[in-house]
Amino acid sequence: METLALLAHGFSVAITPYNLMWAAFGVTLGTAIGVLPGIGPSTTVALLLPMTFGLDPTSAFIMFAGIYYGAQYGGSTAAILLNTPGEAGAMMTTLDGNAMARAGRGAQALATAAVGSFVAGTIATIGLTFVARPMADIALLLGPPEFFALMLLAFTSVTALFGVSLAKGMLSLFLGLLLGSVGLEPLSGVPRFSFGVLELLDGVDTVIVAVALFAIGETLYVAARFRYVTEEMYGVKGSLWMSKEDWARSWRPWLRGTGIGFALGTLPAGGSEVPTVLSYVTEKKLSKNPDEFGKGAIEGVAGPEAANNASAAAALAPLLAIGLPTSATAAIMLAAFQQYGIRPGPLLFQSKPDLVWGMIASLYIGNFLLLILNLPLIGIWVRLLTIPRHWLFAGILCFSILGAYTLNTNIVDLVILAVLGFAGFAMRVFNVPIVPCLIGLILGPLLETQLRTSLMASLGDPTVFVTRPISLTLLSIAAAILILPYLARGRKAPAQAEAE
Amino acid sequence: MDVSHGSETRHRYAPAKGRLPEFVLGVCAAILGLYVSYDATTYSDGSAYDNLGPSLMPIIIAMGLVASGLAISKSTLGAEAEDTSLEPMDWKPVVLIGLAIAISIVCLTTFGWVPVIAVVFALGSRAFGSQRYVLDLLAGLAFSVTTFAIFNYGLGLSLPVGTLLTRVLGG
Repeated sequence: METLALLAHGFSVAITPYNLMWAAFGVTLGTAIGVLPGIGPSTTVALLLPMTFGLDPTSAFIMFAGIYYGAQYGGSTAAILLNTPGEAGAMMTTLDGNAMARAGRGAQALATAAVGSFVAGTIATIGLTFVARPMADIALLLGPPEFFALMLLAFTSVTALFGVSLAKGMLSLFLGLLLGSVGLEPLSGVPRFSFGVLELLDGVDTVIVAVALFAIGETLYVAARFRYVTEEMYGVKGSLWMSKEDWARSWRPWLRGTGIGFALGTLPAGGSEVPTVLSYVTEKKLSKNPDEFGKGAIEGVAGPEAANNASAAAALAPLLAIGLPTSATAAIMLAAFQQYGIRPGPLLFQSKPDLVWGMIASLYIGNFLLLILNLPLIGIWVRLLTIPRHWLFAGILCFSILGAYTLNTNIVDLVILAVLGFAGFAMRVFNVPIVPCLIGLILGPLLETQLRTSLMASLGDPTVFVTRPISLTLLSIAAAILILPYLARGRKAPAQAEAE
Repeated sequence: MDVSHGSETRHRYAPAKGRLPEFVLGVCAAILGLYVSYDATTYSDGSAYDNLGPSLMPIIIAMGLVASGLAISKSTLGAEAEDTSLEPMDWKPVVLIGLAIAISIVCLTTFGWVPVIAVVFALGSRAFGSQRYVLDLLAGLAFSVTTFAIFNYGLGLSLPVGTLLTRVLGG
């Protein structure tokens, strides 16, 4: 099959000792940073991304793949040992993972997370290999109105499904859209919100925003609260390997989690919360001892971890095929692509097959390296967490400055880092979700271009969005996602009134 | 009209206990939205069929900001709003970290990566309660030297050497 031939070519590009070295380095660095409290996978990726820019594109993406998987694994480790998820997708892992750690079974939790992530990552990447090209072909059939509707759908799902309050999710989204419109307007060249600052004419970088909102915001938040919160860390004791029973109980959740994660991850809707929650609930329903959940059931770690990894890999499908990022990490990857002047989308497969398949191949490699490097090195990562907290966070602060500065070798980026860092702090305090902001930032300009192109092509007629069938369908789904929660709540109220 | 909520009666337009900051947040968001809509009026026009042109997106954004800001503020008012309080927080560490970043902004290009980041590291450490200034400064120096070496020589990035140093050494 043509796909396999292309993939094989991609492997030949990716597997050189030089590139493998960078992949290994990426995995190690990704895990080391991802393990730090409060620094989730997408923050890690954002922090470490600038590091890859000194390399040529192929090596850079291979290192990036390593960082990506390392960061996921580091995030799981923090969730299990520190009870700090650092990101939505790891929340389910903290439930039973941390319980296992407290019971002295931390190593087994980490092991099931590692192997499950490997299984899920491999299967999901295989799925990605075969899904990406057809998706790209379908995407070629879509026109600006359909892309607009698709992005609107992504927006509504990200805001409606994240966090508690729709209003706060919307606020976050519109802030992101505002940040996205800073700079020269693409179709007419009019400068917007640049306040006369030259560097702002190019817009605000996604990576800076991610680092500011996630890393600096978290650092400020922990700094403000450290006197009142003591973090407990549960060390890893006893045997480091999973028992036969652990394996027996884990393999089916791995596969189910992968299925759930991949299916939901390829959809141009947002987030890793839905797949992980769904996986947890499924495992609990299917388990022979559901009472164990919450107290250290290994299925409760195996399933969600697999789901998380599978959905993360699957999110690359709409990113590569359509150019639509559906998660924070995908948004940062899009920023990385843009840094190299590459525009992911249906044309990418035709114009730069080497790069795309090399990248997919490096995903397999990164995944594999993660498993063989990290399983034995668990002890070292745990040791990392014993560094005194004040040094850990001082390091995170300095690393953020490093990442922000080296992106464009530009001090203005540090100013943006500071301003948005405090914004991120405020968002943490008031429980405003951060991911919608990031998605709004990166998709806003694209959305605007599609919107205005559609209107120009239809000579100003706004009904073009509802007269074309695909566009209408997507918009209806978006509307449904927004309205359904209110309908559900409305039905609850009369029931409550009856009960009183 | 007063409506009871639990054991407390609250006026319909009063924010729930402890939720005044959130109320202010909503108001600020709405004000930002108004500013954005004002800014949108200052652009020159787009092409003939482009309707509002470059103003289109900012107007949508402005509407969204005002709507969500008002919704957030509204949610803190009246009887149905829950009482919460913000968690206890210190402002001093926050200011200290802000200061550290400000120092990096001002001094980084002149004095170079190594000394400035050592200081930033020490300040960050202090923000988290460490009182061992000399030790922190040394740790910061170790950090900045290591990162400088790895990133400049290993990864080919360009952390600043410092114009002061270049002037002294290069002449």
